[in-house]
Amino acid sequence: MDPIKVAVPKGRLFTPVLKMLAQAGFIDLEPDLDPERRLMLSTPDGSWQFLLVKPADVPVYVEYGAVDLGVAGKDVLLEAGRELCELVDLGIGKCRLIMAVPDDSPITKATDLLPGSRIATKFPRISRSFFASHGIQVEILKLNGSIELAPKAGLATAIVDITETGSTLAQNNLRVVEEIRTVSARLVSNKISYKVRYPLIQEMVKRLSAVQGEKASV
Amino acid sequence: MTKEDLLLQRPRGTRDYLAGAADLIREIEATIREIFRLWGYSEVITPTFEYMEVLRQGTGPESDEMIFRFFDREGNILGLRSDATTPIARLAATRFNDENRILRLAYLTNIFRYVEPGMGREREFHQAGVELIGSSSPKADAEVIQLAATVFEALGITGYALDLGEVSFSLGILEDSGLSPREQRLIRGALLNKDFVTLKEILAAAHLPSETQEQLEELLALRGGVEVISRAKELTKSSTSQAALEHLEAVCELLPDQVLERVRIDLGMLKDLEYYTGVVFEGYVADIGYTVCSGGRYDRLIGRFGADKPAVGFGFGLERLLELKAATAEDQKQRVVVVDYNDPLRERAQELAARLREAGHTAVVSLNKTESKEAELNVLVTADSRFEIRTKDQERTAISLDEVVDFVNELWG
Repeated sequence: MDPIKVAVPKGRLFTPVLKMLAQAGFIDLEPDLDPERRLMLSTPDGSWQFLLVKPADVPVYVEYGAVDLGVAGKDVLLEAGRELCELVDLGIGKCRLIMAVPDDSPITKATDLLPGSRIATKFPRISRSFFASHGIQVEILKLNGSIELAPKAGLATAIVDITETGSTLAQNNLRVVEEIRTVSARLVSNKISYKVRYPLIQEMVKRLSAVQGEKASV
Repeated sequence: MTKEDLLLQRPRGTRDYLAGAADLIREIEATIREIFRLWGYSEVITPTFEYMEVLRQGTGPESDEMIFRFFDREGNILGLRSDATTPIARLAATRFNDENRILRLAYLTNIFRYVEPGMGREREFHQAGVELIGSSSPKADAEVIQLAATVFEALGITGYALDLGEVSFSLGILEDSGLSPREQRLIRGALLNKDFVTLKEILAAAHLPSETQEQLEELLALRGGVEVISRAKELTKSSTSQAALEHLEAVCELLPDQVLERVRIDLGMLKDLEYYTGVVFEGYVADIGYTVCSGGRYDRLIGRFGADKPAVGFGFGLERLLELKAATAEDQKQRVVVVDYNDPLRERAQELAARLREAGHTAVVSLNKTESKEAELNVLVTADSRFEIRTKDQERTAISLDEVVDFVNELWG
């Protein structure tokens, strides 16, 4: 039978996801694993394969059925807007999607923004829907990194970004004014794989949920 | 975009079908049309556009933005056909208003939806399907499900499976759950998207007794072989859900074994078109990541047009079948004999082309040298009334029309 393929995100979720997969008995942890060089891992019997891909590419792999399953942050899923099944909240990679402004800004909430204000973000889709739902007209600028720099450089009035501890924001003299939502890593599946390979997919859901349960009870 | 940019582009979500694909799609249509005919379903053709009010009965007010719309000169709002079933429901209600009459109708048509194009989603696509109108019996559901399976078989698609559900099952569970209408709506949205994380979150936030919460979670995601129906019967007290389960069970009992072995039960299945009222089903194939066929029972749609008639039907997405078939199809390039001539022998060339066509071969009389040169099989009519036959790897001369026809017969069967 074909192996079940799972897309694993490189980046901030990489280490916690691998740890969880190891605890659930899918893989052995390799201490010097370099995600920039390796592209794939698998169980010894080859029945589960793990493809290491860029976080934002996970939903694409899953929607098109190139993999059966994937792990992705809720931020990435919301931004991608792809059609897939969200199976379980893995409870790892927890952070907050926030709107922040410079410390010395008079703005204390989203509705203080003047119409036409520029917002820098890696999440244009999420930002657009957040501001639209508050009836605020802003201009969204999609940047690919170092979002914190945008207000300092005079590019944007505010930013929308994710933060785990808030320390990067503090270092860059930024202050959180809105929490858009909390996000965490999700196990997602292709819609047809969910039907065709249901028993094996359920097995992964159970094994990962069990690991999560152990953690919660510690 | 400038006008020059637009000149060479198709609108988003549309396609050109070139010779090979167009032939294949017509072949698929012919196979399906023949199956429908053998099963007693007669084809109907409805207008490409309808009054908005008609189409809206099918999409529901919340999804009517998916309809491409425009005005006529009297100011009426018109829309392009956004699904095949709704116009047929209108037609059935207005033309066949006889109490006990059973109607078996079929369609092969294009559909237009203003959606974001993506995997397996186009703004214009083609569907072939049936509507069985006038019976609420499980026998009618079983008939169309068996017909859908027959279509897969006739097309030589062996790896298909069918998911079977009943939309009123989850409706009953939710009505009995004590959840607020808003929570129920959110849960239906989550089930439609198979978003089990949101489902769990809503249930967790609803402050239900933990036993009820677990039961709901299990019931709304129940999936497996036919045995899950009995499991669901034990777990639910809702009379709506019990009735749904009994109907579903009856349908399964009526299905022949070779269809039943393809069936999985998915009790959480909901549909994006809101007119479905009972049994729903989806056909899919492991090789492509989306549903190939979709259908179900809609007992109230025709009633919205003034004639209360129960009905059940399904539609196959032809682009999706094309994708499945294209992978296995042989090179579909059409074989053409190009007949060329030296002046003034055009008449003789015409005569040869006519004879070849009579024998069932495609033949054209050449219009320029490129056409002759690119031909897989070229015949030149020469001044001494001979025929120089040239293919990629052989050349020979024939002295009569019959000899040419015999040669082509032998070469191409």
